[in-house]
Amino acid sequence: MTARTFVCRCEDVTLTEIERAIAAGLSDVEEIKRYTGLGTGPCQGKECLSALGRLLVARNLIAPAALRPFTARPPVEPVTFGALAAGATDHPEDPSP
Amino acid sequence: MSPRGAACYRRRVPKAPLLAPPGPPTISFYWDGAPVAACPGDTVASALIAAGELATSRSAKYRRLRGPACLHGGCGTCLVRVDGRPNQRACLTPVREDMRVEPQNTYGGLDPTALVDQVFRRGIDHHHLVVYPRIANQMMQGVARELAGFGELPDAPPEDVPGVVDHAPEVLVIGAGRSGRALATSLAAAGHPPLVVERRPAAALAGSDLPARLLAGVGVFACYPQERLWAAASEQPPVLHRLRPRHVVLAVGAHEPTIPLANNDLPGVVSARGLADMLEQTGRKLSARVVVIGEGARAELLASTLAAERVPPARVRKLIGARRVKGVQLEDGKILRCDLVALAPDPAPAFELAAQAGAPIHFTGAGFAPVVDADGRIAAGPAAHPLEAEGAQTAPPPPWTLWAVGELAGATTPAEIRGTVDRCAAALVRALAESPAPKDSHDRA
Repeated sequence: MTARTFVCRCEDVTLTEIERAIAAGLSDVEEIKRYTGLGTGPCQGKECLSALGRLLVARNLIAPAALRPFTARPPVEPVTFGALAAGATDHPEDPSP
Repeated sequence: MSPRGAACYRRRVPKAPLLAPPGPPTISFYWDGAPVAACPGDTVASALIAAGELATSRSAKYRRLRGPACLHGGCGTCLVRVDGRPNQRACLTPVREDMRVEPQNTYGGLDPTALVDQVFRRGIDHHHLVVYPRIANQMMQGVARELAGFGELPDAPPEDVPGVVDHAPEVLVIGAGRSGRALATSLAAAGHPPLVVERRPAAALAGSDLPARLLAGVGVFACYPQERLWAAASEQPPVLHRLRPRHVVLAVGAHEPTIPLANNDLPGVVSARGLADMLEQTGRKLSARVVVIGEGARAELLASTLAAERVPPARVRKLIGARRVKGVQLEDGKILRCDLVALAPDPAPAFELAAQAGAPIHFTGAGFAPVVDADGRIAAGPAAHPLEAEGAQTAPPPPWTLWAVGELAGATTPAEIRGTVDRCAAALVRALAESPAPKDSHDRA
């Protein structure tokens, strides 16, 4: 098995791939997310986001005050379609478009 | 039910147990068709780790074996199929007699995907595999979907009747960990018992200090400030909880980020914090050799709790093992043999709900966190992301006050956590006294 160093296990993004993104001139969390897919798996960045932030700051690629997280969108916890559908059942005639 | 269970049954070879049970096992369930002994209080993950079954899934791109890692419901590599229901977190699922637990994209002893490992020795990069010619690409789409997929749909529609419950508590506390429970106790003593919502099931919440008004097994998954709503849900039965509180305390703790080390994804590489909590909750004792990787006082404390040797990340060359972790190779070439590697990084505050609520977020050096004052009050401010700030500034302010305690408020030691709880409780009690609940606001919880 090839030795690999993972920053994001959900999407199999390795340190090598982060290095490649940095070599391509990227230094921002959102840029590297789009370039590598980091943070887009089931955990939505719980494991990788701060690890990436620490790495970027440690290498002086970005000032801590300029560092921004991913946009935090729902759901932060898994939720079933069943539970979401339950919220609709008491508004069967919701007139909103 | 998957048809492959019977075929795998005879192949299963019992592995050396890694966690000793607190008493004789009285529960038996099936993992990939083979029986596993468990104790009351076990989760699927704790029983599997105890039995030495460390791999539960394969990764999306390189097809590497993965197993329960964070042990806290956060990471997604312990997703399994339970009694036909896909994508259940093994680390949050209590064991039940005769439950059938199956991996979703790995196949135990008879692993057809092992062939993939033989053919693609450096791993599959499914983004760039068989793109041309187009006809082959279309076939490859189907294969890739199967390999990377997170399980099949349930065998039958669920029989549970979905429900919806509205709550308008005076104080909502999100999280029933150390800080959430302590805060609930303080507020209850002051005559303001809060509603506490906790994503872990009741069976996973050991201890005698449980809050009086507790919704366990209910995960708060969103804050919609413009709808003036916090949304939470349970899965079985599927119930949506709509929460419209006057005060919200986030006691959501922290995530354990990964430590970038070679082979840090091997089955058996777990969070030290998650492992320590799991042992406390299940009453199991380690019978495995553990190496803790981490730096600082917190890592040292976790290593002593786990009675394990600790090495700083800078001394580690790589983790060794193929189907599971077997040891830690140090920079000087020395190998520390072990059955589990426990990572003890600096925790990263779970800032996500605060960000959704519109709190200003900053980088603390360890991770992202909301800006709080000395009492833990979270300042109202523009949304974290510049693209969303415009709308957030024109919207009316949300009708609640927002607070953070514990690790989200920057505390790391039990004494610091206690300090954040005491200051927040005192400030909240003052706020409640200054603006009592309006007459028409009745609590439907």
